Amino acid sequence: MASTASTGGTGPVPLQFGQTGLAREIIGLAIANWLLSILTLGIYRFWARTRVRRYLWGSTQLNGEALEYTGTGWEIFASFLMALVVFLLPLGALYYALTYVFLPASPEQIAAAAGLYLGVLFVAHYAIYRARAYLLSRTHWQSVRFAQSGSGIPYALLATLYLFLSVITLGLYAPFAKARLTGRMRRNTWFGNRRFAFHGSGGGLFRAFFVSWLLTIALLGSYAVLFGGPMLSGFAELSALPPDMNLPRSEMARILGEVFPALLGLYALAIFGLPVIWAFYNAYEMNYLARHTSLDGVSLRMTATGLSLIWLWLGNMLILGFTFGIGLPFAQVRLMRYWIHRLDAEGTLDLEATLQSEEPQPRFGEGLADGLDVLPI
Amino acid sequence: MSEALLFDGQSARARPVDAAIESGVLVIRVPGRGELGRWPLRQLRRAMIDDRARSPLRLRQKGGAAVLVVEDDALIAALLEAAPQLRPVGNPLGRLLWRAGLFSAVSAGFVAALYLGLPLASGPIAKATPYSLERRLGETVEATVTSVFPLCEGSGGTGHALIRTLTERLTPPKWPHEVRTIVLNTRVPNAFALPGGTIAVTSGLLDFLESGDELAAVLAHEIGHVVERHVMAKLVRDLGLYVFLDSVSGGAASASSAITDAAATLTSLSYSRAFEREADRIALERLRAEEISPEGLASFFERIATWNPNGDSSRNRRPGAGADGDEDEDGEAETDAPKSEGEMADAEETGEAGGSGEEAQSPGERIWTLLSTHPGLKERAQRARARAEDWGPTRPALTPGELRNVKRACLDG
Repeated sequence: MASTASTGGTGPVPLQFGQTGLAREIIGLAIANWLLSILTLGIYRFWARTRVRRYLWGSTQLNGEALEYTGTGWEIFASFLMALVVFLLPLGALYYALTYVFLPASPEQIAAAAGLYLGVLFVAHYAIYRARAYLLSRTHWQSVRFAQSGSGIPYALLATLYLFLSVITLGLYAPFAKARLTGRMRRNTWFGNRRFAFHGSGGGLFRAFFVSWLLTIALLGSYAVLFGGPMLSGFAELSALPPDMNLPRSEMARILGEVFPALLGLYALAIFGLPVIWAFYNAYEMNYLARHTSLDGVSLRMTATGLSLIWLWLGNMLILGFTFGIGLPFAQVRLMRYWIHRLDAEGTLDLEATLQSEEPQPRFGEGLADGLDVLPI
Repeated sequence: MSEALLFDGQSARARPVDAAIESGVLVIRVPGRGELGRWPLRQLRRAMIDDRARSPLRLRQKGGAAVLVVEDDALIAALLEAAPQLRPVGNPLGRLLWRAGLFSAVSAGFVAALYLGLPLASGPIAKATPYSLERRLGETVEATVTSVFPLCEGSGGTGHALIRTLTERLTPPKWPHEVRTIVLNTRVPNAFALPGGTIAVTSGLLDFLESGDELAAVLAHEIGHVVERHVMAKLVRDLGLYVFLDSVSGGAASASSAITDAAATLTSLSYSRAFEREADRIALERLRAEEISPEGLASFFERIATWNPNGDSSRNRRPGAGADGDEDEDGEAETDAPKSEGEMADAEETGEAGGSGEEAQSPGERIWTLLSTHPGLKERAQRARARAEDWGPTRPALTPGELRNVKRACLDG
C-alpha cells in the first residue's frame, strides 16, 4: 500500500506499528520449505529460514513503511559450514569420545561430561548473541539498518554465571538474570546511529516472579503429596526387577495401574498447570521489558496478557502438532503478529538525525546458533 | 517525471523526489535541487525480493543502501519493461519443482561422495591412531558388551587355556601387542574383534564347531582384523558418518533424522568386502604357517551361511545337538542370522540386534542377505578350499579330546 511516511518533513515524527497481509499466506511457503528441506536432508533450512524472515519482516510496518530483511541463505549457510568445521564436528566427536573413552558412570566420565556441558552452555550463549547481531544488521527500515555492538564473550560469561546463580537459588535469581542480560543486549542495540536504552531491573520483575514461583512450589508440593507415594513405589518396584526378566501381564498391569494416576497428574501439571501460571508472568515480563526500553525520545509499550498468551501458545501447539512441524512458519507468523499488534510507541524520533549505522556488518554469525539449535526465529 | 520516495541510505528520512528513465539510466532528482543519483537500469534490483505486489515498486541499486519507492503506475510499467530483472518471477510451482530436483541431486551427490570418501579415509586414520587409545576404547566396549552378554568363566578351565594357546599360536609373531580371546555366553554363533586386540567368541559358536580347524580359522580371521586395525577403521567410519550427517542435517525435520539413522545403520552393518578379504588372506597365511588345514575355514563359512536358529540346514545337525536350532526361550531380541563381525563392538547397538533379520522365512532371509553382514561366504569358502591344493603337511589344530574341552568352556560347574 501507499507509504504514508512523512514526506520531507524535518524534525521528529511519531512511530506507528502496523501489519499487512494475512497469516495464511505463509502456508504455501511453509509446505515448499518443508518439502525442500526433506529432500536436502535439512540443508535447505537456511534458505527456508531466510524466506520466512523476509515475509515476516516485510509484513511488519512502521509508519506504513515495511521492515526489510536483507540476509541471504548463502550467508547463513557459509556461517554454518564454518561453525561445523570449527566447532560442531569436534563437539560431536567429543560427545562420542566421552562415551567410549571413559568407563561408563566413572567419576572421570561424569567430570568430563559436566565440563563439556558447561562449555557448550557458554558457547550457546555466545552464539545467541552473535546470531542476534546478524539478524539486526540485516534488518533495514527506511534504508537505515539496525545493529548490535559489543562482544558476545562477556555476555556468554555472565549468562553462564547467572544460570549457575539461578540454579543455586532455586530459580529466585532468574528475574534478575533476565533483566541484566536483556539490558546488556538492548543497550548494545542500535538503529542507525541511535542507541537503545534500557532502564529495567530485576527488582521490578521480582514481585510478579515471586508470586508465580510460590504458586509453582505449591503446585509441585501438592503433586508430591497426592502422587508422590504411588510414583516412588511404582518406580522402586520396576527398578528392583532383574533387567531381562519378563513380567507376567497381570503384574505389569497392576504396577501401571498404580502409577497411571500419578503419570496423568504429571501430565496435567506439565501441560496445563505450570504453563498457565507462567503465561501470566511471561506477559508481565514482556510488558515490563518493553516499558523500560526506549530509543531517544521514543518509549515502547506492550500490552500482552496471560490469557491471550495462553491462547497463542495453545494455537501454535495445535498447529505444530497437527502438521507435524510443517506449520512452523505459520506459528511464527502468529507470534510475530501478536507482538506487533500489542506493541505501541510513544514519543517521537528525529528521522533526519538518525544516520546510517557505522557499526561493521558481521559477515557470519548464525552458523553456530543454528548448529546448537538456539535460534529464536 | 514522476513522484517517488527516496530513502537515501544515509539517514532514515523520507525524501520526495522525481524519477525518470533517461537513456538507460534512472535519474533521481530533487525538485529544485538537482540530481541526487543516476542508477543504470541494468543495476536496478528489487528491494524486498519476495514482494510480488505490483505497486509500490521498491528499488535499489545493486549493492547500494538507498531505496526508491515508486508508486506511479506509468513509471512502474516503464521500469518493468526496461529492466526485466525487476519483474516478479512467474510459475512458482515450476520453480519449486526445479529447485527440488536440483537440491536433491546436489545432496544425493554430496552424500554419495561422503559414503565413498569416508570409508577410504577411515583406513589411514585408523592406522594413525595410537594403539593405546584403541585399547582404552576396547576396555569400555568390552565392559558394555559383557554387561549384556556375560563372560563365560565356567568350569572349563582347560577349554579356556586351549583357546588361549591357539590364539597365541595364530597371532603373527611381529605383532607387538597382546591378543586375547574371551567367550561370551549366548546361543547365537558369532565371533568379532573388539578394539584393542580382544576377540570375542560366543558359546553358540563353540557349540557350532565341528572341528578344531574351524576354531583356528575363525580366530585367525579375527586376528587378521585386529592386526590390520580394521576395528578402529570401522569405528571411525561409522561414527564419523553418523556424527557428520547428524550435525549437517541439524536434526531439522524428523524425516531427515530418520534418514540419517537408516544411513548410519546401513553403514554399520558390515566391514567392507575389502576388509573381509584382507582378514581372510591373513588368516590363511597364519593357518599355513601353523600347518593347519584351510578346510576348516571353508567348511565353517559354508555351514554358517545356511545357519538359522530353526535349524533346517542339514549340515547344522549333529547327533544330540541341542544348542543351535532351538528357539530362544526368553524372548531376547537375537537375530536369526550371524551378526556382522565387529558390529557388536559398537556399544550403542548391542541392545538392538542388527538389521532386519527378525524373520526367519525365506523372503526375510533374502532381504537379510542383501543387507548382509557376510556377503559372499560361499565364494570365500571356495577360495579357501582352492588354496588347499598347494598347502604343505597339516596337523589338526585340536585333538578330539581338546575340542570337547573347548566346547565345555562355557558350562557352569
